[in-house]
Amino acid sequence: MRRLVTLILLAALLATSPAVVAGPRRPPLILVNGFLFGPALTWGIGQRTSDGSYIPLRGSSLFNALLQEGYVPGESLFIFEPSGDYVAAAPDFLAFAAEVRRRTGADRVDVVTHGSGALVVRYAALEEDPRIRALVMLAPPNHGTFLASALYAAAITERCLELDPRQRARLRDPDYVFDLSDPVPYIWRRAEAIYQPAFRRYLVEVEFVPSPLAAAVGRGLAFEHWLAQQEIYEENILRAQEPLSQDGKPSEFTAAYYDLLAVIVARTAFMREIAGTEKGGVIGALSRPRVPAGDLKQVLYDYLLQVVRLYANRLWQLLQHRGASLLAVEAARLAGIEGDGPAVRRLVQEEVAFPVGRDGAGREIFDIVKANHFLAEWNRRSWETAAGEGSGKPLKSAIVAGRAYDLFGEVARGVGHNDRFVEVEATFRRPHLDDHFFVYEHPFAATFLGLTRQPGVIEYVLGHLRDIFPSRLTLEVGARRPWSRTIDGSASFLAPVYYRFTGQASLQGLTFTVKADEGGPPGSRVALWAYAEGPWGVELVGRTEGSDVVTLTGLRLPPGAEGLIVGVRALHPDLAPATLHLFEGKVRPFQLTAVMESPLPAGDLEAEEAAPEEDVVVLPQPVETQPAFIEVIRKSRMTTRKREDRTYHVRWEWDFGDGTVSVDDDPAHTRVQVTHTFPSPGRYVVRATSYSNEGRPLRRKEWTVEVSPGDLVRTFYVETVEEPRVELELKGPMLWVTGRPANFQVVPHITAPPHAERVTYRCYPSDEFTVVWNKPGTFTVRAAVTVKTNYVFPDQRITTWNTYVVTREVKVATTSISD
Amino acid sequence: MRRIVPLFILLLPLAALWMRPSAAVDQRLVVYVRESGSHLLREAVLRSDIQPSAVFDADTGTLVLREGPVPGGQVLAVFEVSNLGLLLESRLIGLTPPAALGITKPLVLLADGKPHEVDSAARLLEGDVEIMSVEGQVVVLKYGGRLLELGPGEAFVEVYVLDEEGRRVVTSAADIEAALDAGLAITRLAIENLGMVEVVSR
Repeated sequence: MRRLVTLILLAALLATSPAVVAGPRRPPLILVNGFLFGPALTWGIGQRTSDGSYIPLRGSSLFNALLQEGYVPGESLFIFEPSGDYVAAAPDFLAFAAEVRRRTGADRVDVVTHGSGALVVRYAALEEDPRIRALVMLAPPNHGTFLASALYAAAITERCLELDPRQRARLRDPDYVFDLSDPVPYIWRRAEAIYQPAFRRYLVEVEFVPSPLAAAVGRGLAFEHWLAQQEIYEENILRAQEPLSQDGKPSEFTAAYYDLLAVIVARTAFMREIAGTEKGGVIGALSRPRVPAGDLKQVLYDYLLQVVRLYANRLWQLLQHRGASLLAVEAARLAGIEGDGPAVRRLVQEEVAFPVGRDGAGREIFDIVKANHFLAEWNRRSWETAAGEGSGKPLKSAIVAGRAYDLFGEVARGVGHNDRFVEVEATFRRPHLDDHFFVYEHPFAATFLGLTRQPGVIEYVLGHLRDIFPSRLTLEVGARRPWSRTIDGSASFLAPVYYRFTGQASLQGLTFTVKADEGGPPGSRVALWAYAEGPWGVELVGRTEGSDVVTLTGLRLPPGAEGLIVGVRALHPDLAPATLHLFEGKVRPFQLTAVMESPLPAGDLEAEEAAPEEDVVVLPQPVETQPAFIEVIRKSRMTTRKREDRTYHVRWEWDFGDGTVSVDDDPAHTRVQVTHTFPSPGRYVVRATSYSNEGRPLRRKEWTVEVSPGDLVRTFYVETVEEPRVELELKGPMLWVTGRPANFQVVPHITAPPHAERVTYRCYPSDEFTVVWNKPGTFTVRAAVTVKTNYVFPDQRITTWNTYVVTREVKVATTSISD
Repeated sequence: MRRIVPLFILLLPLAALWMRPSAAVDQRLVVYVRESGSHLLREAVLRSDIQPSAVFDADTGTLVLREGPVPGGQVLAVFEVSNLGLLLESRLIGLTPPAALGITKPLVLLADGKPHEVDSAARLLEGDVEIMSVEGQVVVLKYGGRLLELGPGEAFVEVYVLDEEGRRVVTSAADIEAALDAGLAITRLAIENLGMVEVVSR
């Protein structure tokens, strides 16, 4: 009995054990956390046991999901915890990745980073190729610095300003030797010697310039922008990306970083000198040394009351929202700085007018966006270096940014701002063709640490690790010549779309053409590229780009190539971190045509002859296909009993939370933008629900908005599912005889709709089938295709099944008559 | 009913004006007024919540407004105040001459989520700026009791320093540097006639 129970338990355990993804062996995965939070908090790892295994945390976390996915810590899953800063940690990471490859025998590794962990990997890639297949960066501060830097900057600034005159005089000595283990004296010296005079020069040349000619600039220029145009900036910041050295030992940070701190110190010192010694934030309150004249007891009482009120307010906010970013913001506030992004972001920032389109009269329409010149420039240079042949550029990188709504009011205003701009800015100046950007929106959870806990983000990460080039459709190229296929698609600016072509004997000589329609901002381009796919991985075999029509031809496939992956994406020269939001949701519709026109070269003909004679067959995506040929002996009037069954959007229902509801019954309105005026200031929860033709909710979206007295109008944008465009063709005879098999073929032409991550289909009774009639008459041959569409929205995944029917009339005569 | 119909017809143009598309493009005579100060804040505020109400793209000669609609009137004035490079105020003023810009009104800076008082005593302006008339693209202004005539592309700039003897006008960079060294309050007023400019409102 006990054995039986044990067996049952074992069977149950096996049945519930984590599913291991089938398919080719996956590269090992390295998780790289940032400097601010350790791996346990970042990845949701519970407890590490003495034998090196982990007891995962309860609830949703990326680490748990990886275990479920079949990753085994120590065998296929590794954690790299950087220390120091990204410059110091980069060599350690390279050594770690090499050791993982050696231990697992893998050629490449996959890497998932969080926060500043991305900087470690990027910096390492500048030095040496870490052989990364897929790099997924969660909330990477590629375009800014991290909060730790901001805290560090604040602390350094305060200490610099507290240096007394005697110390300062000593530091002015040209022979003074700086000990970089404490960078404060060095930074102060740089601030005083270089950046304070620069700030004064800026004031004279820009702010108070007495010449009328200077007014022609139209408006003032920010100090940081002015500085970015000076030689000292080029020399001391832009190019000084190496650590300072002292006695042959490198300093903790790069020379540029110390100088960036010196810029902050210089400006703060200058302003304090003019405005007095007032400091903001808690640190200001606590560090104000002079007690005002008056009743000391009363002063102390007021002071304590002020501090208690401040902390009580923060605590209340923390208890209310419990957001991880809020904690970080609190830490920043305690240090006396604002939590609305990294310090460096504040350094160089300006506003530019960016063209976003044209109005009806053909005139350009602009949007005002923020731009950060210094960091954009640094990032551009970094990636240019890294993107060369044989460099550390991964095959594909994906960036996940969080966008939390700015719900936190005055106290933690920075949370939403930080997530929106810092993490969305975590992009490159111009994306590489295979780069993906994913902005996860959630009112509370899209925070810095919250990202690794969200099912939508976890699924996105796993998807990238499972399939490096997830294709919309797989087409098998048959042996017959000529052959062509046309696919309708939409090219996004934020992610490529892939199509996979298989058919080993037939791929040489394929020509691909993309014809893109108008769309996106003026100056948009379209890119088309192809990878050969084989047991050795993938290899780029061609790429091209142009304004609207591009063609790839003469592709040379390496030996052993089993398939071609063709990528299409929209490009724009001004797609940059600060302008990313302008490209969200914008697409360029296109037609991809694959043509095999010319006969194959002589050498390939032999292989072609050996291939079975078959026409073009579009392979269904699911594995569960029926056998290709089914003999259907007609007994009823129908070949399949499948009926047309479609699901599509018909109705929007809006609830604005202020007692106003509205309904939009136009089925064509799958993407809507609604502007609503709220009756009074306050916090409102706005809900939009899309209903299907069957009356079921298809998509729900919810916003929480803070409406202020001067700004009662809000605009909401939402999309729901669009039905895929499906055209069916049933190939077969129209005249036939009894007793002989008639062959039929179902050919569906499917256009994937927007947000469709995957479109698969299944044919009924099969994609090819045979019918035999045993009596004469006129019959209707009926076939059906069920299309399964997986839609992915940032906050929701939706799957629809639509069945479409195609028929063909066949006149069947008796054999005696036909004979 | 008879009374309502004419009233309705009368109101139609107003309704059309109100409902016009926000992405309207307009040719307007634009006057840029910028006041730069050194001692306007009593605290060391490094960052302000104020966003420019308009950005002038010198390459295309287009003034892009942050928010529509474009204020009405014959002249569109953009008034900005900064302190040591930090933007304190940015306002669009639409007016038909003769009319004053009202630039001497007290200011409060919103920064770090709280108000900071702007020291009016450190604003060394000689008074308000009044646009008296417009002839073609030439603007006639009245400032400090003086009549100024600015053609398109022309500017008026004056820098003031407050010392023990009171407010005085300085005319050289050396004077400004000396004032900075002495910790004196400085104010610069620049008025520029941008001429007829394409104004784009989002």
